[in-house]
Amino acid sequence: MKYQFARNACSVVLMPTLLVLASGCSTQQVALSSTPQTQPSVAVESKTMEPSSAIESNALDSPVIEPKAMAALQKMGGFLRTLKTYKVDFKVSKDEVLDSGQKVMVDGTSELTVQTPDRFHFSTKMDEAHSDLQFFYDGKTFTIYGNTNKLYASVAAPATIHELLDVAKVRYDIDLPFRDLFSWGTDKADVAAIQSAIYIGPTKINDVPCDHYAFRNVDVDWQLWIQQGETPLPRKLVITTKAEEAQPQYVSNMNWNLSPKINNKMFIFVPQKDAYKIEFAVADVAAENTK
Amino acid sequence: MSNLKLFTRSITLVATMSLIIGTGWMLPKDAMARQVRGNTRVNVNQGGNFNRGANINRNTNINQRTNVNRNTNINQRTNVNRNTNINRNTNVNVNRNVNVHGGGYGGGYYNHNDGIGVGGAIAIGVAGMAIGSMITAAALPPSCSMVNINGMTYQQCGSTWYQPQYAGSQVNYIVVNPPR
Repeated sequence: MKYQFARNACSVVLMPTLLVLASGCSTQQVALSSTPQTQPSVAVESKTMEPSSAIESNALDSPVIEPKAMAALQKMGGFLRTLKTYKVDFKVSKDEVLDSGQKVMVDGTSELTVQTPDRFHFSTKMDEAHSDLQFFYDGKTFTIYGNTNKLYASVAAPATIHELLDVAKVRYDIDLPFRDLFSWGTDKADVAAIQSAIYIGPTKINDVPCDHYAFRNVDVDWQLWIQQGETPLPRKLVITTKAEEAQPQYVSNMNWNLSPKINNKMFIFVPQKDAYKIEFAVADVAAENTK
Repeated sequence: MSNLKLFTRSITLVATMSLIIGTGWMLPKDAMARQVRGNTRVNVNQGGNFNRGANINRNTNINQRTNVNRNTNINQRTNVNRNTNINRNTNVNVNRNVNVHGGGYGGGYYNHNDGIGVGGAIAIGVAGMAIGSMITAAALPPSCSMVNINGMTYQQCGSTWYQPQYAGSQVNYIVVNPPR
């Protein structure tokens, strides 16, 4: 009985609606047919008004690529490639997007010690994200170790940092947040993907005089603060992920030490007695191939 | 008839959940778990191009991050499809309720990097978890112990045995047959 009633109610509501719709349609048809020439422009307008992807609307803006900005990026990349041994202290903030779509910002610190071409130690701690990890790479083995859970996984690694960073990303789903430092100044820098590059102005990051640049790619907007003078280091990086509706941001401040004390042991993971060895989950190449 | 079925199901669900809450089975280890999408980019350059025989160029997929189910094609060694766990939010909410009552937890934040759910958890309290099911560290019961058997690391939680593994930067626990 309930259903019956509901159905009736529905039709009662529906009927007038249909009537209104029908009359609305016919009116519009009359209007259009009386001025047929406006029809195409109306159609075009409604198309552009559609909430299409950000990518499309970006394409409508005339992109500006300032040679100065591109040159600064190139100069920085070239300088990064000359470095042999260095240490970077990162202060990072990262928006996490909750399933509700709400953004929550978590802060963290990281330390990276590099000896090119085949050694690094990276420790990263994001308190609120319960992430406290160390990564070791000594040219032969790549290890992830959780400081809290005491679990580690090690795999045989490629011969250079450049190669390892790609393998870690694709095969082990670990996109180490300093990968850009090794992409810039190489053919892995997606220079062709840059749609817009502008110089914003001079400023200071941690009291270091810097130049501020802003770039746009299809999927990310990003800003870079490059140290002025003869050591054009990236001092700050902001990445806005446009492909995500909430447009989360990642902010990284970098402090550089170009003559750190290096101990070869720091790149080699030696498990303590209370550490347990586990495996990496590996992205299956064959499965991806059939995609 | 379908209404009746639905009603019965809801009752079962509620009963199961209260059982779980009551027994505290799903108490997370350290903090309440919130599901987040690990889609915030930390690198500008896509990278990922290296020759691994298959020559897969990931750069062509510019919508990588909008795809929530980005692990669709990644099968783990244990052949667990990572995306089988759909109802993970339900479980998270259960955890939170427990935390509030317990008073000792909450306020935390769990970085869930790669969309791997903690599903199947509702069924645990009653029927035990299926071999191959996967949960996150936050969903582990409180009274587990790490055991090393023949060089393999296991997490034993009562009669349920898990094998931990790094999936991205986070550890997941896969239900395995008892090794002993």
